[in-house]
Amino acid sequence: MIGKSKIIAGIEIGTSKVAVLVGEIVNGSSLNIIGFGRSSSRGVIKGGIFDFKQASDATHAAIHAAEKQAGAHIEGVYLAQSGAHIDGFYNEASVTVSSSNNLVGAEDIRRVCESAKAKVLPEGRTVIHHIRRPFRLDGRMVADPEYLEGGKLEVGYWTVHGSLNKISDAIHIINGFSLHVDDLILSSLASGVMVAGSEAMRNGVLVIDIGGGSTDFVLYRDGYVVRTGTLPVGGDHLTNDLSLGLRIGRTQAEALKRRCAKAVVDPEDKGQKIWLNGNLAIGDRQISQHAINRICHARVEEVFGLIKKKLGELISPQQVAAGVVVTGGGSRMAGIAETGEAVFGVPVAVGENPAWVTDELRGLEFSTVLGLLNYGLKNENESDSEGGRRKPGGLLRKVTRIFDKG
Amino acid sequence: MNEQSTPIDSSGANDAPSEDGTQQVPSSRAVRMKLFGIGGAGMNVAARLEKESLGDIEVIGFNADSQGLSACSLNRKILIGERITRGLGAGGDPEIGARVAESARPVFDKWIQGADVVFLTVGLGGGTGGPAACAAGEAASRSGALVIAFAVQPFSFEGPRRQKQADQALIALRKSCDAVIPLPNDILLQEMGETTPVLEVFQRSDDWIVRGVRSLWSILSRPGEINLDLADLRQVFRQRGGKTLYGLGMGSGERCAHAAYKDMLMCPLLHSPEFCARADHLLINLCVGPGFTMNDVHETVNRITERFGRDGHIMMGVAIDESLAGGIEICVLGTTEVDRPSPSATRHRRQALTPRPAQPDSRKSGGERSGAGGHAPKVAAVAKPQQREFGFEEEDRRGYFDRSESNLYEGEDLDVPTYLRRGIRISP
Repeated sequence: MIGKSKIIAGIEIGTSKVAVLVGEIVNGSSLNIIGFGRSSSRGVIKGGIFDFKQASDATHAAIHAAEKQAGAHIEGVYLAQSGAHIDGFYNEASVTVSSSNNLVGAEDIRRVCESAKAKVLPEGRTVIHHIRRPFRLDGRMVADPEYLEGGKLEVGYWTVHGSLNKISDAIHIINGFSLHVDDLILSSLASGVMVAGSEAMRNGVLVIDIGGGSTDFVLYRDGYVVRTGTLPVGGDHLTNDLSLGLRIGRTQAEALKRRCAKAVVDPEDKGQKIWLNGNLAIGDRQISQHAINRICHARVEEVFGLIKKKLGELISPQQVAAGVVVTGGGSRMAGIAETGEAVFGVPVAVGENPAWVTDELRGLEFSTVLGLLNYGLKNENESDSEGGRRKPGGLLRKVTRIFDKG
Repeated sequence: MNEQSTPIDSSGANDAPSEDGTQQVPSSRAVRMKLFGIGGAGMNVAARLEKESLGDIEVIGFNADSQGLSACSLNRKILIGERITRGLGAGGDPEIGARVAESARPVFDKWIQGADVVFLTVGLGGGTGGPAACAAGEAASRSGALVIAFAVQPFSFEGPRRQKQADQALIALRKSCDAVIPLPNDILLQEMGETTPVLEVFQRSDDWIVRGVRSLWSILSRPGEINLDLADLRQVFRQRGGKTLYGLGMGSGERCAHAAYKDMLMCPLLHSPEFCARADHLLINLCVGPGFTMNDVHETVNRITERFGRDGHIMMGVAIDESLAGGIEICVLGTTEVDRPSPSATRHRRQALTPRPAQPDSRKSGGERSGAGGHAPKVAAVAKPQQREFGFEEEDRRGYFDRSESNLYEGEDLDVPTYLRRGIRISP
């Protein structure tokens, strides 16, 4: 692909918005962002598509806007995946090095990887990612064992899988615009690479992306992905909690959440009152800031608590030396870091997209779609170096398999 | 009769021998009402209601636990399922509860005889309450009575098992009764102060049931200036399986109508925000003090209709209550069709419904008693949507996520607000 450019798009069909980012990959090595389109999402709840037609229309509108701005046609799509249907498991395998001189050969590596990935999925499920952990040669962690000397070669994979139906729905929406899905990327992996630097990934960092309908997380250590996960709880839940708790409409609750909700219970807010609509019109009433905070704090604390529980022993101050980074639209809420620190017992920071990102896309709700393009770039130029990422073509095979089965 | 049921007439503190009967039924053809307190929690409420001197309601308690039975101050109480539990209760086991309920059917049949309206009070989540209330509801329906159940749902902290049993019982109950008014303890807890003793928290649901029964009783037994009667109630509850909307509000003073409306919006029996609280059939009853103007009535009804109405049936009643000088009590009762369109669709469909203001001469037409056809002004009527079965999952506390798949994690539904599940008081 030398001397050639390819137009790719990162697409996230989220619960609150659909975002489409178009990038041009020049010479397979550099990326220019040339178009952006977004629309209010419809037909998606808790990260999952429930109304195909509505979700499809919203997505097509966003793609159309992005292509128009880019003035180019998209040639391949990197599609984000989230939602309750996504699950994962860890599987390890080991082989005895076969050559007589105990030097690890390519065949040994192939064998150990194949057998670690060989676990059969239940009916109706399909693999989204096989994420490889570092190799271990006689217990020693090595990045690339080939030509090293040793007796026993081990490797583990964190396999992320999802419902075949749900994934094909999303792919069909993209195909419905006559576009081809090059790869499916877990939302957390996409936003993770945007807000966590490589040093943090080496030292250990947990990235939590709080979206509209779901919260995705990814834990890195030694520069590798250790765990990923999704909770079907997001900003919509905070809105709903406020709406039920304060007996206000959903639109009012959403506005109130954005305007003045805090994820931390601050004694100073006791007695403070907030105008519901803030326009002093008839029907406006005062609401206790304390009540708002208690509702939000309970929810945020629970979400963090569930993530902590899911990670179990994997999360400790030693293992996540770089702390926790939160991103996604939900991370905007005041006090989110404080509550996170109380739950995880490690420093929590609100993430930032890289400095090169334009103002329009600086918002943390765009971490995922930016990360998708980043993946696309890597995918296009890393055809030979593996580094835990999929080779081009692997994706294609996966997508074809979905349709063979379906 | 059968030997499983034994009217208890000894060992109680203040008991009266049960004479099969029809005492206390006033002359002419008044609506005959009975109230069944089922299970321990149901009987406790029933006992309080008996003291409320709602004259023409006959109160009877049913329990599978003879100890609980004798501890209760009700005058009339029946042990059910004795052959199955030997009077020891179902121990929270729904299978035993179902067998108890099955064996009690003839007992319910017998006690329901002659009733036009049967109220059930029950606490869900345990073994006996749910199944027995269903059996009683079915018996009452078979006899042609209108059945209205008040069902207390357990606190989340009582554990996912009880929660699940309660949810299932509620779904079953909706099918066997004309109306089911759930009282989630989680939500009632929100009303309490930080330092409220536990016992009082449990009593809170009783308070609301007492208010609820009293207000229905007054619709049925006291003539209004614009009268509502049993036939109107039947209209509202034409279809089963749907959710019941029920709200009570009180107000007094200068802007009492406004105050009562606001009070009603905060009523825990209503406990859902606008999008899941639109009724296909709506009944509004106002009890007002003598000074209340027709204009105020008109405005209040309009406001309620706007908030809860849909293009369905709306009925209203107004009764003058001398004791409410300068005050007003609102009672709103509605049902949603089982096949309810999505909330967003209904919001667009909403039309301005203007109930016909009552004519001055309708005051005179008051006095008729129930039993005959309905005379309340019916405002708008549209073809009834077709009914389709669909299973309700956990109820009402899910709000926006009401129609989506439940979000279970270790037995907890994450779509339900955390503060409700944790019993965190937010005091809005």
